[in-house]
Amino acid sequence: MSQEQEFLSRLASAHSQALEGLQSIAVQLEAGASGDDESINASKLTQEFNVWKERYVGKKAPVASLKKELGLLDPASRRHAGAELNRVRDELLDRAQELGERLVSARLGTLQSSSRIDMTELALDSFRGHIHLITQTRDELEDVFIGMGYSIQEGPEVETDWYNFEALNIPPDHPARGMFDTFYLKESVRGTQDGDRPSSSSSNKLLLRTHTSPVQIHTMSEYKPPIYMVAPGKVYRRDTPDARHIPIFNQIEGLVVDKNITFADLAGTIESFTTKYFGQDIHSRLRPAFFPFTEPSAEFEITCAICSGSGCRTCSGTGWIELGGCGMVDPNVFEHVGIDPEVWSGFAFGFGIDRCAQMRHSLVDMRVLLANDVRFLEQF
Amino acid sequence: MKVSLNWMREFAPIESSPSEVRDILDDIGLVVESVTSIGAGLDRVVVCQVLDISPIEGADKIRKITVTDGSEKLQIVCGAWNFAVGDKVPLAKIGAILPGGFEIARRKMKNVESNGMLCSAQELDLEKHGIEPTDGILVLDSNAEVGRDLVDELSIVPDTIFELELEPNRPDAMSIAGVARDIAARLKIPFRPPWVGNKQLPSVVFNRVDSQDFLVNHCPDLADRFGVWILDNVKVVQSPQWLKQRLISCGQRPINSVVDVSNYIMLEIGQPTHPYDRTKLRGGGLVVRRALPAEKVVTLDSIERTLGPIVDVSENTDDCVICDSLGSPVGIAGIMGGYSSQIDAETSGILLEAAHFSPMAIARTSKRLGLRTDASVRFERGCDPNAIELAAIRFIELLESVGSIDLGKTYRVDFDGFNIEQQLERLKVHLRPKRLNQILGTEITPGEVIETLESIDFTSEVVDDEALEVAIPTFRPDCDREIDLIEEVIRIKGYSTVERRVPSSPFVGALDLYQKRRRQLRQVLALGAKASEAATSSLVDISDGELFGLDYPMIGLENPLSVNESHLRASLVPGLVRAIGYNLDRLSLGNRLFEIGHLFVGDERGKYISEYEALCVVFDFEKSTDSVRLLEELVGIYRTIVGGIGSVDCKLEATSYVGFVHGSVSSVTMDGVVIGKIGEIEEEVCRQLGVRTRSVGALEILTGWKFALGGRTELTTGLLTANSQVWGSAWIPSPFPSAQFDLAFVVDEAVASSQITSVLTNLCVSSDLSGIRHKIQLYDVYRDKSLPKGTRSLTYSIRLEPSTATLSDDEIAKFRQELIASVEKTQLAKLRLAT
Ligand SMILES: [Zn+2]
Repeated sequence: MSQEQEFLSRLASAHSQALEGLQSIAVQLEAGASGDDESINASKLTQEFNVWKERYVGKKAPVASLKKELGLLDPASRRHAGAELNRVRDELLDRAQELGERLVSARLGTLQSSSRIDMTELALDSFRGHIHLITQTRDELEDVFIGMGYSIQEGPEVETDWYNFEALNIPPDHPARGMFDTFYLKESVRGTQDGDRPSSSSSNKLLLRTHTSPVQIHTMSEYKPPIYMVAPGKVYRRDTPDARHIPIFNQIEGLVVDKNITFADLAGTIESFTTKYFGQDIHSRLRPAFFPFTEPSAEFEITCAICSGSGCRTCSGTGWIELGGCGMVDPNVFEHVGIDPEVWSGFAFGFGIDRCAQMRHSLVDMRVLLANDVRFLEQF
Repeated sequence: MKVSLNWMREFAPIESSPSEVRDILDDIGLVVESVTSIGAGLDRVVVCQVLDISPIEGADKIRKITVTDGSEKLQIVCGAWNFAVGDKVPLAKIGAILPGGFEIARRKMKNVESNGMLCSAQELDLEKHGIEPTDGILVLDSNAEVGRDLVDELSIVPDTIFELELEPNRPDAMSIAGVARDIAARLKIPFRPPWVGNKQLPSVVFNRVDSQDFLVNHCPDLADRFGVWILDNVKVVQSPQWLKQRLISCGQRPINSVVDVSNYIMLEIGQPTHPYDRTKLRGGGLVVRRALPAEKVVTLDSIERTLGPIVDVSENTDDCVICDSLGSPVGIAGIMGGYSSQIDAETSGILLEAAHFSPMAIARTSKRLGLRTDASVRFERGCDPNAIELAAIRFIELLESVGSIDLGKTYRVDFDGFNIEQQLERLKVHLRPKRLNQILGTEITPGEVIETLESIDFTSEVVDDEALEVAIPTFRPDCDREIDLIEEVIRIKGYSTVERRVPSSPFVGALDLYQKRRRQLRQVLALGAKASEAATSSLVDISDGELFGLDYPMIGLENPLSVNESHLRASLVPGLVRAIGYNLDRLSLGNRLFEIGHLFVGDERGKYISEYEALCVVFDFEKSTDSVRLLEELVGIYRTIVGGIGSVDCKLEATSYVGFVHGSVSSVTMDGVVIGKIGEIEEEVCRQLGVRTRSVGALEILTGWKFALGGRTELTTGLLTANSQVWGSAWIPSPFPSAQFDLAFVVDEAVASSQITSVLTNLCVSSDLSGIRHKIQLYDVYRDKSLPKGTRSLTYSIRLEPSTATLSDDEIAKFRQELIASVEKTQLAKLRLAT
């Protein structure tokens, strides 16, 4: 046998072995796809295929070593044997590529049919509980003032007449009492201790606080200035509920007592809070008002967000919406808590937490806050 | 309080537009509620005369009217039938825009052209101009001038009315002149009060009679200044149109010249007066005194009012009555006159009263009677005590000008010992301009301070370098301190003139630990326990509380709005169960609600009260024969809370509570103190609270905030106050292997697993293996027929973490024996299996 014949015969043998291996994988793949043999697994065949590739088309494959032997042949045989070798190599590469592609699609197909899990079925509505709108509003307001160096103070909802009225410069029969519709507790009920308050019977009368302002008195009685605090909480007015008023609502009170605190500081603080909470386009203005426990006193109004200040029905054409009251702490209040008004000065402010929520979310009827309907609660 | 711009212009040359005036009023604290334009919408409305009325073919409701407006004949289609040929009626011409915004255009009805509209009083909104609405077209006076503008024919003066919402401390602003004074001060224009240049009346002692015949004042403390004038030869007439219009536009109904003038003066200068028909006053004069017990008087509105002390005769009353000379009441001082002496068409002589009453006394009487009048509101806020004579002079002057009296027959009654002309001294208060700037944060000069105060009639004198002495006008009873003057200066100058600064707090703002943990608790509840936060009413029906047999009486309100809201809640549970019921009724199932709020606990006698903050979680659950699944759910929530907030010291102890299913409820304790309860609510209780179809589980735990009235806020044992922040050293996991084994015990059903847990824990703590970290967990509960009846198997896993050396097998075995022995010694359990 000539060198050339021997070369061609070894090539033919390598060729047929390679084809055999390839054929075996192809047949198994076919069986698996048609469902005839369930034990056939595309990933396992892929591994087998990788071994085949290593053996027949890799660097150590027979075809590769035969190629190195081409140089030993005489030139005429070399050309013929070389052409034959290239033909065999190309055929194997083509068929390997084709089978490789079939294997990849078989693996994808496997996942899509048999072991498929509908994960969208598992991702039901993202169920969670919801923190109340008013709490969220309160927390956000607290955070604005915490950022300005204030602490959060809390007081009781049942108060004595002294804390709710008298210490705030509203003596019995003062016309300003008409501003508050007060719930009183039954006469027979009292506080657990008499404490340090005047002991006249009218001062000890118990009531549900009509504003958060009594916390001013508690705080100034307990701490020495400087004081920077806000006091959020529930307040009560004896008012039949309607769309705009509910008898139990939430206010936040602010109090600053320090040296050289002025009306200018009050105006600046209100403006600073307004832009921080409502946004850069919302501003504040103060106009004269009357509160017995502050002087000078002011109502504060903020830009009407509905018309951006140009005037609309909500703001009665003024471009402003009333938000709360404020003023410089009245010297009489300081005297009630033993702070010298010639040394210290301060300002106080108060406004509705519910009202802030109402303005942000256009609550047309405040009574929705009384019902606790989960369909309402779950949107916040 | 309504004020007319025209009227104010009599006192100050206000040239600003109505909208500018509105802004000024708002900015000086006289808040404008609404603005009304008088005379608006009457352009192109003229007087016309009806020339001919003829039917329209095929129409039985409308007719063809021919009118003249003086220059041309016009054909109008009209549906009203209440006028005749020759009548003079208002015609809205083409292009007129009526008060409602309706524009008149040429129209065709039944093929007949209509060139305008004949109008009714309503269509022209004439009620606010004092024209009573009538049915049909307004038929004008036969003297009306055809072609004339209706506004002129009806003497309607275009005007702007501001409705003000006044603060209770500004009685002076309850008058046209008072409001004008403030506007003039802001605009820096002169203010000319109506009384300047008025003539003085002859002071005549009536036939030399003693003034005692006209007035006896028994209570000068209630009526501290009281003047009486006698007007004879009175003719009661209709007020002129201009006067009527002013009254109507400011909210008063015209009645007759005498009453109208009294009202006019009150609106103008804020001082009420009261005219009596002198012929109806027995004895011809007045006696002022305190009301007798249960004394009755019929007021102008024909209602009988009861005055004086009603029960206790010895009780003094501040009700002040005005009586005739024989002592019968003819009015309630400062509030409302009596029916018997009222002015009517026949009145020929008047006794005029102008007085000043104690504001507090008027306020109390008015409140007790539930009778608020224009007079009482002014008196209780504080009228100017120096305005009495002025009011009388204005009254007499104006009544003369409308032709109701003859000045020659008008007398002032002079009294011994009281001279009405004698003005009260002005209060003087020191003002330090430096202090003013310290409070306001401004740099206002003393000169500006003086000038600003002067503009509202506060006169100043310089005392020294530091202070001014300011004389406060008697119409400003609200001002009596330095701070009041500071407010007046900045009110008139304008709050917006103050610059804005932000004070810098010397503190770092932060929540305290309790507040931080409360926020954390809400997150745990919403995201961990998947409960939504509710906010139920603190005011409840007492029977809601009684369903739970609350240990202490609930606190009642003196003046509740309704029985449903008559008591303070002593628990959050009933309110939340009701909220669950509300949602079940709206087809929401599986509701899980929580609330963190205050509750109010009375002592045994309901006499003393303490206020606590508490957490409550309530949920509804499918009804079933046993409570196991509901309790699993409930305890799951409890574990989420306790785990989430880190209050590991909380313990459950089986107990029983009214309102909860027996055997399905535990107390929650911490440090040996009961701080809450957790369990399934009885079916009947649920039903009473509006939940019929589902079972309800609830837990309520005190969070630790407490307030005892008269005391201070304090923190006591509670969910959020446990584990106060202590910086303990960190435990570093040991390099030595840990040991783990399980112990299974057979335990009687009556014994709580927690009891076994605490025996095991106690041993671990006390054992000589101290220094070894331990972890004890109940990890399996097993019930089976193979176990003795009434018992179950509890399996505990025990894990030991040595820190200094590996535990030997002997040590572990010994320790295990000790654990088993300690449990068995209690006779609560028997070992079943040890692995
Ligand atoms: Zn607006």
